[in-house]
Amino acid sequence: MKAMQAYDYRAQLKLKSQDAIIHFDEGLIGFSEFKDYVLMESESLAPFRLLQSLDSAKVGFLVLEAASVIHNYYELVPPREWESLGIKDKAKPLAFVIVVIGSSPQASTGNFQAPLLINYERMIGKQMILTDSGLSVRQPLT
Amino acid sequence: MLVVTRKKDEKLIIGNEIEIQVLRIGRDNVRLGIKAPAHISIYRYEIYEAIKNENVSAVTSQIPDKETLEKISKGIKAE
Repeated sequence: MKAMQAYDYRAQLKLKSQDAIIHFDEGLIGFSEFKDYVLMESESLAPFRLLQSLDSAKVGFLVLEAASVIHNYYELVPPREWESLGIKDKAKPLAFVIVVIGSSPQASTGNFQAPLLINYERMIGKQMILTDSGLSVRQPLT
Repeated sequence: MLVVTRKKDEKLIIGNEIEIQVLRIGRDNVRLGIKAPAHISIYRYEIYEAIKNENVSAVTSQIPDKETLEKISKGIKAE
């Protein structure tokens, strides 16, 4: 199984057996050929997580739950986007933003304009773009 | 690249499901209407490019040590 061979070359994380595969049907934007990921957790990364491609050790994204920065973030995502992933239960939405760590905490940003929406029950996800949201691709985290 | 000339109100169809209609022709812009299934994402190209570039820079950026990540996470104030 390809999942067992995967690892990340930056955070040096080893895949655990409980890491389930999340399928991104369209891939991420600009990475359409990489569709299967695991959301890796580690004490050394918390509260961040690593969305690691199973097809390439070089393709991994540091992510953060969007609502931990903007608490009503889920409301900013149009209902039709949740529905396109089959998420009807609004009590359990899940959105992550991709993080870029800068030279200082102040220079570290999250891409709040293009979140990753995940349906944990069906283990599928997509990256969507929030147009007209006023949110930035490089929104400071602190 | 396929090049087609269309007049105002005329349409194109891509596959069986995507329709593009010329709604208005201005001096240096055109207004288009697009009909597509909900699972097809439609974005202005430059926005798509900006997100793509950001994804690429996320993949190529370093993942710092635990201490640095902790410092950042402590600074996060939920709005």
